[in-house]
Amino acid sequence: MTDSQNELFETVCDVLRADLKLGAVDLSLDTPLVGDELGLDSLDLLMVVTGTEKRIGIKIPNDRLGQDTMATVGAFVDFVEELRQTG
Amino acid sequence: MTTDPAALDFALRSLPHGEPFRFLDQIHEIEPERGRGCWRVRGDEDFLRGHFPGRPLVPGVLLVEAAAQLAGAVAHQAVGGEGQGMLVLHEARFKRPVEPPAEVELLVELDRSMGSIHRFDFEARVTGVLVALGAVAVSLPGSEPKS
Repeated sequence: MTDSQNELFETVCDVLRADLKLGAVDLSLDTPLVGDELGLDSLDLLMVVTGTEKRIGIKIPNDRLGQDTMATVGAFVDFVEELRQTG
Repeated sequence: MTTDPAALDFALRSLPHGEPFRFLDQIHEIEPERGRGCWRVRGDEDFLRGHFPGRPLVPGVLLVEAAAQLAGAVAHQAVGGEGQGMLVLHEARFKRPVEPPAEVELLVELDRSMGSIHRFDFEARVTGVLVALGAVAVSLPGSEPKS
């Protein structure tokens, strides 16, 4: 993982822990965003997107958000990193 | 853009809110991802007696609720659902106090939808002056995309 991806991973973790009040939950790239593990609902996923947008200053296109790009923390990090790279 | 009075009245009536918790008085125009409407604050509303005694000011939280009601009407018009929209998230900055009587002009624009949650950016203005801005998210059961 590049430094940029590492930084983005920490950003997404901060959104989950601070904005969604998950506290000191264990998070890894393999942690599912969808499903029972974190118990996130649609509003939580919306907050993950908007919280990440605010922290890194980009707009994430709605039409590319889905079960593939938000399946896990790592999938979301990769997706957002790709957006950052392609501008 | 819909400006047909009958369609706008239908959109307004789709809201589940009733008196005294209906703050959206009129919808001026509605598009699939955008709406414009107003709340006419008369000055004799009961909540103004306490907010504040001797200096009535429209509570900022009610500006947010008015924007959310408009957002609910726009979302319902665009994606359907059961018409029981509820405010589930908001963030707001209040730029100026609003003294009654006032006509609060409201503008909402869809930011994104996720499942049955629809997040809108909003602005509230009085005589063209920005008094509040932010975002509201409304939940509209039954509006989830069909898989």
